[in-house]
Amino acid sequence: MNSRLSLLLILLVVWLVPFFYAGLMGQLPVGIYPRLSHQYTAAGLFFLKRSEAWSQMLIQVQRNGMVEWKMLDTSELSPMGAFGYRQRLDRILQETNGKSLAEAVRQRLAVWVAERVKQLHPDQGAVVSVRFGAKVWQANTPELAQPAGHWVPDLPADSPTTPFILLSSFAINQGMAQPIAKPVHVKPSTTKQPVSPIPPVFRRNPSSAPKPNSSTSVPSGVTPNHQFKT
Amino acid sequence: MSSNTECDGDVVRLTEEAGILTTDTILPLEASPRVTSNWVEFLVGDTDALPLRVFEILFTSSYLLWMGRCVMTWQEWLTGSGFHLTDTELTAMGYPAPFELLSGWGVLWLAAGIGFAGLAHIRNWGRRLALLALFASAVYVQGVDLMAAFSLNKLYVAIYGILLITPGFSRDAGTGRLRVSALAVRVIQATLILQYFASGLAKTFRGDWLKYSDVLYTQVQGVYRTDAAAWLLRVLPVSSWTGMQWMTLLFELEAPVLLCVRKLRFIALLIGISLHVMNALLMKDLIFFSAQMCTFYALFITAEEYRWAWGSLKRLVG
Repeated sequence: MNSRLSLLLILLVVWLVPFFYAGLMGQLPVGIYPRLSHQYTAAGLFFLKRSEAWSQMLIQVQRNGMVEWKMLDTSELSPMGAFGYRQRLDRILQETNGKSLAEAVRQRLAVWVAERVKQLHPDQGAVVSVRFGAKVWQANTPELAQPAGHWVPDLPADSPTTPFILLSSFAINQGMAQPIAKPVHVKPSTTKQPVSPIPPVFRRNPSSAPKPNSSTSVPSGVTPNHQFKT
Repeated sequence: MSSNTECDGDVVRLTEEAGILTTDTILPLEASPRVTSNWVEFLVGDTDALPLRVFEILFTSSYLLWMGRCVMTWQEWLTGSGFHLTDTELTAMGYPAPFELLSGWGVLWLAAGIGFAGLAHIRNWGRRLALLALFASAVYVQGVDLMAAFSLNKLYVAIYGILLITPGFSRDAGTGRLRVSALAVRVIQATLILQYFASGLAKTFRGDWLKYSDVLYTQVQGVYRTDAAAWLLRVLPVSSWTGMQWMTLLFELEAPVLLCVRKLRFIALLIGISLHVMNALLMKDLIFFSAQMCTFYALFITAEEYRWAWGSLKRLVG
């Protein structure tokens, strides 16, 4: 019985207490071996915040001799789903976005995308440029609050209310990706779309409005939701 | 072993016995041997293994379901065909370095190993060896591709680890029934309770759940939105989402009481399972996490209740 009580005490100290603490605070108070500390953060990390907006990562390619950019179906490139209507590749783009390593990851990914597209569609011409962008969908707008059906991952590239925000662009040459010097932001449409009035219960006191999420650089002034830790 | 602590070990009953809940009694620093013995029995004493067996079967079934879903895209997930972040990139993002990827044959061996170990665990064949294999596989699949791993992966690692190191089953000579130390049961029960409670507190103090009435409403509009969620968004008044938000938060904060007090446990099961079913219906692919969480409830049903339910079912079927 003593050995069982000792084991209970060990499990209390090494599992239950840190698991509760990490769930409550988001991380352990002291730095420990990363693989172990990562293990504890399973509770209380997701769906904490109001989603002011939802972001969507996009990949576009330009083929040899073509002027227009073609939006890629990420589920074709990356058939493994993350939670929700997102693919594993979306998660990679989302989690690296806004971090110092984002550009290097996208550069490496651009080469992989060009190669993958060539494998999937060998008859459609070589990919000469790959660019990454994002769209941010405001919550409580008709598109999101009164939707016809489930989230559509491949929404039109240039919806007036959600302009395409260019993040990085690369020229592909002989299996190498070269950044195209200055990212050019796609000009958003000036057409104002009707937005459903916010019900009184949801009207917010401006002083208590949430601050923009510092972990992402995609939107300006909105907090896109990119929770994956389900 | 005292019979009143068997199988279930109701906290309230024990604390009442110990005098903790009575206003005129102060628990002495040196508790009486009977009280200490009851607590020890409750925490680590032998108990009927049926609830743990049911939990193990359901938990491993949910693991096989999750692995089955992941392995459908094995090339992207486990081999160099997919795009993978490097050690340096993952470390810079605060993740541990990933494990080595596999070849096609390696994936086949892994899938076969998980399948056999899962089946063995479900059938209670070579339990310890099966648990070791399941634990090792859970550690590997979580660590090999952190962009395809989520909270449910962490819980598979933790729970298989707990089952692996805690005492195994023995057979009662008199009844022939399986018995097990309550240790694993109590730790896994506590894991669920703390999961809910930490989540509720985090929503309350670190999150927006008390600041805004439309947290759930805005959550359900996004990338998780299923057709069912879209339909509910169209037909339900917004105030009903506020109601669901408060109900969810209240349940998480009250989970320790609802799950520990025997008379309230049925309510906890009803609300908790309904909550996870709703999550699975309204949010795409959350069915895997919901299924995993629901399996924990198997530990809050007593052996007697299982036998009563099984007897009733047999009588119904004839």
